Amino acid sequence: MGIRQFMNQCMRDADVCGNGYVDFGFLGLDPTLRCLKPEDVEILPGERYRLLSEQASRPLDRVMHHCGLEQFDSPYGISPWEVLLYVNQRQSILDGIGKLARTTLTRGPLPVEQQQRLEDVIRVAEAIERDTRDRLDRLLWFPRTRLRPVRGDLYFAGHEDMKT
Amino acid sequence: MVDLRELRLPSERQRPGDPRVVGFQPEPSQEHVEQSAAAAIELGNLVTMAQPVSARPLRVRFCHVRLPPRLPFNLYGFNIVNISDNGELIDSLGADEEILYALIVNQPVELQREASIVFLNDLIGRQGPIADVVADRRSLGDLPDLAAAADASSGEISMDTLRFSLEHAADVLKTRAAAAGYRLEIEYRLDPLPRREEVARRVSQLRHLYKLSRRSEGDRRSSEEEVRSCAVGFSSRLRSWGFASS
Repeated sequence: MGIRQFMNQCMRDADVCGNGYVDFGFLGLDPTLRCLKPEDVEILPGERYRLLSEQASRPLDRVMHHCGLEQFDSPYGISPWEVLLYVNQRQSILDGIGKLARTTLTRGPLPVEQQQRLEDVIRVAEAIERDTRDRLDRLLWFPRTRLRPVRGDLYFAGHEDMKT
Repeated sequence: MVDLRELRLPSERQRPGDPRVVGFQPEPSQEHVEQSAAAAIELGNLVTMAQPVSARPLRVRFCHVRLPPRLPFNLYGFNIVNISDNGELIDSLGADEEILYALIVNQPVELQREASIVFLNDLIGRQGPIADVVADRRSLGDLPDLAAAADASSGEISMDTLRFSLEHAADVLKTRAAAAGYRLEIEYRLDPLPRREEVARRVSQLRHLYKLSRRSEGDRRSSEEEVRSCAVGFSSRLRSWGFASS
């Protein structure tokens, strides 16, 4: 793997998980690069890091740490995706409703009262879905509609082959 | 005589052609962060209720984050979903857990106060319809309409009371909370998730969300569009199982 792949993984961890780490270590005289799982890293004072899955190991001091969204006092970052995490919560509610619907369907025709209740549940599912769509529309309109077109002179002439 | 309807709230103060409200801070200074924290603590003291002791406590903790990249300038705050030690989503209200609400520190301090009141009013307003359905006073099918009506009413109350004064808005909010059977307990801390364990336990859900956004990957679709399509593709699935939309 090239260094670019390690850096890409680190950036993606930072963007998705809130923190991305690359350890620039040595095995004998050979340099070794590895990405550290964000959930396993403890940040120690003095910009040193400890990998909790390797309890016996010494603290690592050649680690590059990148935050998704920096906090103010804490050394740990948080994920910019936190804003969208409610989608998971809603999806799990919808999945629960779906499971109920499937289970009920396999039982054959329902009494009127139960049929009514199931239809109510589905109405709620549809309302959750509508609300999710509206909220996402409100939240995500900006990147798609507010960005200006790229200026013609933003890149220098001949940039495609890096000649000038 | 001043017509209160003519007064503009912080969220309504914009210059033509500028999507940011007046006073938006692209790079919030330390002083602005401290003012924001002080305002949130002050607001917490204003709306925290000692009475009624028998009422169910509704615990909210405000905190601050910078505006996440790629998100719009009219994002004033968002709920940080609670996650258990083993990485599962928690329904904060049902579990009597603290609700964590992040205010966007880039916004002007007055707008942060407004956003806090609006959020708390919405939260209180939603409890009525839910309680009615749980107590079988209304059917579950009525919930979407009841919730929509409650949201509209809460929004109106927030705007009307805030136009008068923050103290008046806080008083009305507390009255509404007590009427709904709740006692507001508001706290504050600057960082939303300061400890390693709090950050680490969220990783699996965040990865799941990322994978969800990649599930229906198309060449030219942005990840935001993918999240949307996954989140809203439920009706068609239900219909495919034999349920027609009423």
